[in-house]
Amino acid sequence: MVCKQRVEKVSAVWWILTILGILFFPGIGFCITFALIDEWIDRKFYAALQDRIGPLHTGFKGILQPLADFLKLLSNEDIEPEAADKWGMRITAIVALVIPLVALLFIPIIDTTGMISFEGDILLLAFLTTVIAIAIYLAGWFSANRLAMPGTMRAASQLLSYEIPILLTMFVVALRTQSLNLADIVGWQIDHNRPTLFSLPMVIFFGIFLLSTQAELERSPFDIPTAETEIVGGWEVEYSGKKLGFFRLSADLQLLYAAGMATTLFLGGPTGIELWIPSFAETLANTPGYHVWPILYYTTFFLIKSTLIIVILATMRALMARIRIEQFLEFSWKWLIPISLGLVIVTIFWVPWTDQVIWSHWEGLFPNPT
Amino acid sequence: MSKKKIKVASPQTGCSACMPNTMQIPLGPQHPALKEPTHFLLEVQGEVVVNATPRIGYVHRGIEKLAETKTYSQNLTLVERVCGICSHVHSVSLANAVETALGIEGFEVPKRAQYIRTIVLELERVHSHILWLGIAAHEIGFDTLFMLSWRDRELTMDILEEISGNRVNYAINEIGGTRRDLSQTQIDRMLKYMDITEERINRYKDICLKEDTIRMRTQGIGILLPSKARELCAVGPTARASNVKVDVRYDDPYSAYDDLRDIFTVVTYDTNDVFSRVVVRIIETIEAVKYIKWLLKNLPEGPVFAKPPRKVPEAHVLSRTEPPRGELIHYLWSNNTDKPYRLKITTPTLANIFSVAEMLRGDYIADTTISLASIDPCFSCEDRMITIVNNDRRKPKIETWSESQLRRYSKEWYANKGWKK
Amino acid sequence: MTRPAVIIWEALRNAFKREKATIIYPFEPGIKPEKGLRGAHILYIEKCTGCRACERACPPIAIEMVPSELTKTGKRPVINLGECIFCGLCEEACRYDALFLTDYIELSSFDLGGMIIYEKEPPKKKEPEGDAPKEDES
Repeated sequence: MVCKQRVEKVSAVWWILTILGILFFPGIGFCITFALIDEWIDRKFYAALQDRIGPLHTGFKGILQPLADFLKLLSNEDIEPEAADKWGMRITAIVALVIPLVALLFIPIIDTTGMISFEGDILLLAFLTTVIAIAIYLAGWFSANRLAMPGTMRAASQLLSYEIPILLTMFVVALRTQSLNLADIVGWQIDHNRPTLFSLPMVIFFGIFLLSTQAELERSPFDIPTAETEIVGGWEVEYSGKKLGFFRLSADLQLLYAAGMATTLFLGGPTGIELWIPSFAETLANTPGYHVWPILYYTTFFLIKSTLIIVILATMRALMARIRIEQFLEFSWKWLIPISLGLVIVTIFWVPWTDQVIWSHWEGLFPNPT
Repeated sequence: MSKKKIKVASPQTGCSACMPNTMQIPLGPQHPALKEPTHFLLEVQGEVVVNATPRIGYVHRGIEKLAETKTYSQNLTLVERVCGICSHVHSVSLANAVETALGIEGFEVPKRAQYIRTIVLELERVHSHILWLGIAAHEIGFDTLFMLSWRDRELTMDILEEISGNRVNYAINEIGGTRRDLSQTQIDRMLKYMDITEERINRYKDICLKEDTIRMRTQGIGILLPSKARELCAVGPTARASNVKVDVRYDDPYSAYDDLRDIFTVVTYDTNDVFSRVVVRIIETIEAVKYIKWLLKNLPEGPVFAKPPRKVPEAHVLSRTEPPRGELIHYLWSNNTDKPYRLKITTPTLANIFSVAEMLRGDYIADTTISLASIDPCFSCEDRMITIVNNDRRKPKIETWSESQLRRYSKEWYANKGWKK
Repeated sequence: MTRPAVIIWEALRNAFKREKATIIYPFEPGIKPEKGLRGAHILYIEKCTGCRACERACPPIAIEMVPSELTKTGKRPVINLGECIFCGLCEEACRYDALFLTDYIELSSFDLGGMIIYEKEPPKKKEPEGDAPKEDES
């Protein structure tokens, strides 16, 4: 909101700023850097839960280790089986890398809107998540390995079954904030001085969202499709070298994207003190060095909140054994989806009641600029 | 970058000796879940395994032949290296066999040496069972339990290093006793570490019994009925988990197990699946810690070594012991010299392999590795002398290779690949 | 009563500890060689007579007798640390208390030849000397 008011016309400066933004900050360069740093945070916390030290020697306390792993995979030899569809394998790897980058452009990082934002962009993001699932399925299909077939089928059923709780969660938040635009969801949270999380059914939906995200990203305890000790790699087994590097980087970017979505939908986006002191936005706009302070402020809060989500996901990774595919799908269809549907209906009745009783008093505590 | 063309093998269907309408999937020699190479040919229909055929022999090293060229004292260190985890049991078993043969002429091992051997045996059982718990947790995807249990295994390894000088392959045995003695500071430290280990193992028992996902993964899998266990001669915790009460330490005591007989219990459990094997091994670890503490408190005084005569009289000796995996048999045939005439070793994994083939039938493919891991396989112990019969009608039944044939074959094979020597 | 994630409190306690269970070995002193750790050998050449008892007792045949001027029979043992299994049977077989196993366990080299400890003897002197295997090979 704040930046765009300055440069109003679609001019050459605007084009240059947009292209630089997409390439470096907050586009591709920033997102890849922070995806790799998030992988580092994940590995260090996972190791700390197990009473050991994670990566240590590359860089300061191992912070360059995910980058080193990625570069090593890029320089490996790329072996392609004769019976496989080579262009199919290459295209699915590239598609799996590009789609999270596109999806990350919608998430508010440096401002309360994303780089791209229009009415109905939640539906586009839901569609993009499904495209990633289809890309993974095709990746396993194109590699033409009979032993990868069980892994691919498991991946397809797992990813598509756990799409549904995510979509239901997104729509409940849209229902609550009465808009289908991510920027408006953040705006609602600023106007009403509280993050969407402050409500009992919303807390349960937050838990459901995190659980389904863990299943979508294929992380333990839900890493059944690529279980190393059972089916030797699942749909990833024929990929090596650059293509495997792209899949790994795509998994990291999806992690950043999922943390960004959870932050935007539930924790109030990149806003911090603004939620409670609305005049802070005006003071920030009037300080000298105008363009820089809001960007730093919003980015810092986004990073703090997304790190918190990643720490929760890393804890979830360490706590349980891997469960079998049929127990897993049973859990989704018998328990998770009916509970989500029931909670949607409960939310419709619960929310106006609590709005009237509790939250009107809360909003009265903070001075609203109108 | 050169691109290699690799042909993807298509699975064969309908082999003549296999069941019809099945696809064959190899649980091959190379697999990330197996620590040592073995081969099972699984015949599957859909996702259900219908039949499993084992094939062993990948780690054959010729130890029995080599043992005929070394003296008994050198053989103790050779036989220890049959297996890395249960190494002391092999050495105790051979020492018992030789001392029984020497006992014909009235040779006796001092009591303190027997107690020290038993203490190291039980310590080895503790470290082996904790190692197995970590590996089984890794197979079902529970890496946290793997890391935490191996951290606590380090206490036992530190004790073993302090007593004997090495973490595996202790070489603390000698025919006629042991080579080292236990000092009072070592005994005090061992008692303290055993207390800590007991507390941690009780904690892991709580976790395994209460954790939902471990139960979901291990209950109802790899079922071995008691009648089948007896028929296929299963030994060790594999049989005890199917409620078959067989334990060499109780039935046929050796070393100091005679004195332990009052407080000894044979641990069995009766749900016949992977979960019961987990429970049996954890309770056995707790029991082993109890025996170590009793043995340390009641250690008799005396010498630890009695010098044996150099030549062993002629005898056929069968010595049975109980490593952490089952029942181990050493058969020794000595003529009147200082080298053995024939030594034969039969290990527990060899006895349990057919039980594995039975367990794998009727389960899903995803559960094959945890079923295989639940018998605690040690394939490097397993491969003694075997004969391979090829059922494929296109080739002759049995092939034997001489050394010159092998060398020629290997030279040709490497020359065909274009690799320079 | 079974419930999922039983291990959570212990894991969180581990996560916020200051010192983890890992020993960062080359930068921290890790293994403390206790008395009796079996490492590289030391031979006291003034006591050795070249009787070959150690060569006969060695299980993997890692000891070789080389010509020497300081011993009674004209031979002394040289040990190949690549084949040695550090069992200590040679130490027990020596009747003259000349061969011992020390605490020096950091033995590595870049090629097979470096594993054989062979130091040329100085010419005959009055004072005794030891055949020191503690050269730095890393």
